[in-house]
Amino acid sequence: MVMTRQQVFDASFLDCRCMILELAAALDRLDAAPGELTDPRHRQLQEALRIVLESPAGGGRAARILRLLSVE
Amino acid sequence: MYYIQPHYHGISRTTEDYQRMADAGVVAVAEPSFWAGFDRRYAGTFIDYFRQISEFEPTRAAQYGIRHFCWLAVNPKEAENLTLSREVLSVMPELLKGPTVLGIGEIGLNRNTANELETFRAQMELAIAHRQLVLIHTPHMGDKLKGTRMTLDLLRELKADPARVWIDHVEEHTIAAVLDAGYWAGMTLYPTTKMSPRRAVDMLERYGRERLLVNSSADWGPSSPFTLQECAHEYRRRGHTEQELLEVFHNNPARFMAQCAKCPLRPLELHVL
Repeated sequence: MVMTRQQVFDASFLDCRCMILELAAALDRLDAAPGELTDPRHRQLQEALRIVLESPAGGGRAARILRLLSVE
Repeated sequence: MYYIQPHYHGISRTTEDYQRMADAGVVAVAEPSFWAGFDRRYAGTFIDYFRQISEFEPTRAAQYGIRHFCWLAVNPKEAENLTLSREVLSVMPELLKGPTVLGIGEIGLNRNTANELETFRAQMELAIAHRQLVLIHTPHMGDKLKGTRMTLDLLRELKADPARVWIDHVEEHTIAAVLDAGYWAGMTLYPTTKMSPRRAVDMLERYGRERLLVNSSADWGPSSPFTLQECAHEYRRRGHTEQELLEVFHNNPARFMAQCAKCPLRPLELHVL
């Protein structure tokens, strides 16, 4: 039985909502904290968020983000 | 539903976990050798640890009807200490004869250093010489991609038999290379640093079930043996049959482990009466 896109959305919505709120709250905490942030991982996370929002044919967001976060 | 938990560090868990795993359908576990939480100083410490996981842990698991197997190795983290590693490896051949020892593992890389690679190579050569099954740990987080490439390069160089090698902790960016090279690939379900149950089911649906293993590891850090059952539930929730679940969570581990003659586990098939 293959789930339709609507069924996958229905099953995922609450978890996605929760994860987005957690991320939003973490970024709010970051913005509220004093001092400068020059950690290169911050730029990586911002790039990762851009990847999340893209819609590449065939998916692959997780793999692209993991490659972005890999140390060569 | 029957489960085999193929990668489980029982030494770091309470006995209650065995009871709860038995309640949840786990019939067997396999415990690889790993880091003690501190760097060991003496070869004797390793040897006593090997005795603990090959002699004592099976008795603890047996109280709850769970069969316990183990793997012996110098783990990737302590592989940095070449002198100690060589001393431990010198006594390994005799210890591999233990009645519940499946093979050599978990070996591999931690930070991808030259010393780790040397110990990895030595243990792979030992495994090949003594016809042992092999369980390989790939590094965590950012080191995983490079470490997996280094692992595949070494295995190719040593002409390891892919059917007898399990490369664990694969994620979305490493799984294809491992499967394409013919090895068994393990997905480890961890809350933060490895794969989640849902992502693991995504991988099962994308790559098929052949040569894929799922495990919880369950060790010193935040982890749970029951992510295995969470993954099975997600697989079932997406419409897969009970036989398909058995294939992933019992039969695949049985197929891999039974390549060691000491392991009597066999695949199961459901029949409607």
